[in-house]
Amino acid sequence: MKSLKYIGLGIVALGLFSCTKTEYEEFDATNGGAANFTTYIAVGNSLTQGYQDGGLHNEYNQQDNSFPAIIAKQMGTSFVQPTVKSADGSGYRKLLSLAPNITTVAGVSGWNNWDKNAKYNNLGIAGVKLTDCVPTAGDPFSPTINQVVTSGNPFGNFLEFGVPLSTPPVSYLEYVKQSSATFFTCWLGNNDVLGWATAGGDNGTTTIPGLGTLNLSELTPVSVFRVKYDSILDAFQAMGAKGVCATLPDVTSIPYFTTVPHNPIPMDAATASQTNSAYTSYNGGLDSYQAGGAISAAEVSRRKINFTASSSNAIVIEDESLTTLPGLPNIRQATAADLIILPASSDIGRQLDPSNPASIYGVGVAFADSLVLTEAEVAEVQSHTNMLNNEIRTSASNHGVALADMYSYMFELQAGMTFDGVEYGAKYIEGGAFSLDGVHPNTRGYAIIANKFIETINSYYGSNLKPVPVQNYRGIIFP
Amino acid sequence: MKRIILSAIIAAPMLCLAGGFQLNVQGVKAIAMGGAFTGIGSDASTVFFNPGGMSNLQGHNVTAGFSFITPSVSLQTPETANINQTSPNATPFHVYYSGQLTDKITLGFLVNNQFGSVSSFEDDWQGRNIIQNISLKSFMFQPTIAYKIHDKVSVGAGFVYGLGTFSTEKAVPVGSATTTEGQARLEGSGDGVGFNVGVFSNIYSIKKETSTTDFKLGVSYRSKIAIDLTNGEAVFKDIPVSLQSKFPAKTGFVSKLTLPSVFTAGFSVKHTKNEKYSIEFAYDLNLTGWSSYDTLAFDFENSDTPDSKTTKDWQDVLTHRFGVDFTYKEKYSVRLGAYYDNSPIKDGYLSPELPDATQLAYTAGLAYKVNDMVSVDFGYIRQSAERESSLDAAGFTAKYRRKVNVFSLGVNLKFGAPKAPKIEDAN
Repeated sequence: MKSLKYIGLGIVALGLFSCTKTEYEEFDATNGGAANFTTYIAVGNSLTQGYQDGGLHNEYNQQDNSFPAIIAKQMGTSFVQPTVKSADGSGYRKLLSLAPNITTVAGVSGWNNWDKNAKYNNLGIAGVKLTDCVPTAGDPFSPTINQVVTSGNPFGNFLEFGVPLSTPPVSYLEYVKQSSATFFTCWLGNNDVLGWATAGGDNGTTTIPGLGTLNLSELTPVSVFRVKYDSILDAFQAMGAKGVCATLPDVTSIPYFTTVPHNPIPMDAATASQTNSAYTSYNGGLDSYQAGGAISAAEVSRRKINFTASSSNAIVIEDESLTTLPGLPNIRQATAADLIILPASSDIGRQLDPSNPASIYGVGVAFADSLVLTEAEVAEVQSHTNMLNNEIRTSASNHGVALADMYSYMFELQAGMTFDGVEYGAKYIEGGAFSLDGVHPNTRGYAIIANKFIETINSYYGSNLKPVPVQNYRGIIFP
Repeated sequence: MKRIILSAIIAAPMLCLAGGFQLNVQGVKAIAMGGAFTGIGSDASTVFFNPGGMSNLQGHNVTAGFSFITPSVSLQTPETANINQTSPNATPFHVYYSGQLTDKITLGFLVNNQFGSVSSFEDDWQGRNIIQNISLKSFMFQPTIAYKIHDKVSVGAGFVYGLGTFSTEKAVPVGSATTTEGQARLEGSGDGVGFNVGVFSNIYSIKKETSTTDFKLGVSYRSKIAIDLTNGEAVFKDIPVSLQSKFPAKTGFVSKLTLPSVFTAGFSVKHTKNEKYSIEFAYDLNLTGWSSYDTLAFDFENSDTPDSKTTKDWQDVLTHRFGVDFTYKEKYSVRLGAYYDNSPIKDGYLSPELPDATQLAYTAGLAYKVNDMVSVDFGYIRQSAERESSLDAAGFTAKYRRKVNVFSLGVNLKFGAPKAPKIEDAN
């Protein structure tokens, strides 16, 4: 019976101890350190506006979760975005099957009917180049050109750039000056290299009556970039705002350029020999020009076209950098150093003329120059990116603001990152961080980017913003 | 026996109570004395702690007990404060029998839970892609024999049959228009065999007119047991249609779980003052071979399902155990103890389902001897540990705080033995 006493004792002790809690104290209240997050303004392009899957849309709160919106939430500050009015927004791409078969959802008319009198915190405009944001000093046409380009961009319709053209133009820089920011993120400049690259190394030349010829996608000259980037940061400095600038990713770190292989053409022996015979006169012509001293042996070997019985024949591409030879096209077979752009994936092996089997794209007909970033163009865009990034680094440092090195970070992503048990990479679809357009992150990718900004802000300004759990945001939406 | 197995199944789940997922609640007297028992051998739990010690027990001895474990674990990540791990209360149990066959030979048997782990989190918690719920249970059955070589030295050996069941759930990070995330549930069970051997020595006694001092030594080794989970079943749900060939509604898997070996060396010193009181000090040193738990791999039957392999890379660890027993008039006992437990989990490998830490834990207990046949033991363990570390492979870092209380109750029965001789009659 006495043993019952001990059981009773045990039960009493149990009651006492089972209330034990081991909760942690809550995080400290947000502390800006040397920064002041009262009014946060984000300037930039599509990456800042929350663009993904080839459009600005909000079906699953994609635009609501732009990277600056995520940061603002962690800052605990109010943040007004020019949010699209319907789920479909400007239209976007959607995954239909894993083939991958992608369709484009049509945009909704009037998706950009924003209130132009509202005071927006997110000033990101998809497609905008830094060079369009700031008038070129000493160029009387520059403000008008900027106005035309930016006004013609539907993604910038939430700001009034001066339409009709008779009214004095308002530049993007003006909006920056009027923003009364206490803190900013600046991720401008991507389109000053990316536009040229996504156009396959093309200037996108267009003629506007009365204004002349505009190169919409040309690489912005470094000297121009420097002055204009400085003037954006000058504007923030003038209002006493602190902030963070981001460098530009290398094009070879995004799936838009890394997904389509250069050698996807399968061929059996009979087809190969038939195709080669079709190129006999081209290959022979090269030999003749070499004999005449017009081109080097090296160029001949680079240009000669030869298909073999294999599953991995390289596609035939146009290359404007080859020596122009009367009677012969500027074509060669692609190498691993040439980058085929993502939209070209559906062109590979397509028979351009249904009645002509010799018109297979990439075999009988060369891939257009605009679909390929050739080895030389890759080198050019990489070196240009490096130069612009040096300008961004210098300008940020001169203005005493933090720098988020997205250039390096995107390479780290390419190598693979793991958050809370989920791996991410830069591979198209499988990598989980990029959206279906292969250029812009998906919502999880934007959360990863927001965390990188937060880390940079905390380390530079001594603030204590919390990062966000990446998996709490939506990834690719699978059918 | 049928009832015991049945109650065993009800007794589960349980959780880790020493380094890794080893439970250390195999005897209530030992619990109260910091787990040091290899060099004591005074009740039937020696079938587990040191089979050689069975030769010390006369007649038939039964020791049975169970523990009530109430853990509480919370963690904090850089992103989220106050994530509570839901660790259910657990009631592992043990039953030991030791019976003298001849003067030299003693037979024994045990059933107990030596390894186990249960933890769960909210389904939508931050680390859901690492773990949502996990449950590992094991039951050991051990027929044992001991042989007295000499008055001072005996040896024992047991054959161990282990049964294990395992289940785990985690989120699969793929979403569709109607689902945000899928879920995987893996379940399996299996068995394995091992052995338990020990040497026990009443190495030295100092007898005086009114007191006796006994020195005892023990060494034991429990082998590792590889539990083959050959019949695993994986169930995937809420997977987008386009990915269902990769994560089918149901597929089989095989896996293997290695329960580590434990080598123990211990001693005890007991000073008995006539019928008045005795005081006993014990020390054990365990070496647990956790390095055998190097990877946890799941190979799925469905060829499209990516096989999973997690590197654990645990290390062998030492545990120091100390205990003191004070018994008044051979009837009332008070016990105190402590153990210093090194964690087998290196920094960079600390997973939220098992936030193990190197720690000093405290133990206490009481015992009451009802009569020569029956005595009862009460034991208590208090663990409290904090650790901040990462699981590098998963990109997860957290600060953990873990508190565990254990309340144990045991009963010892003794029969068929000659009536315990009075101290002054001994010799």
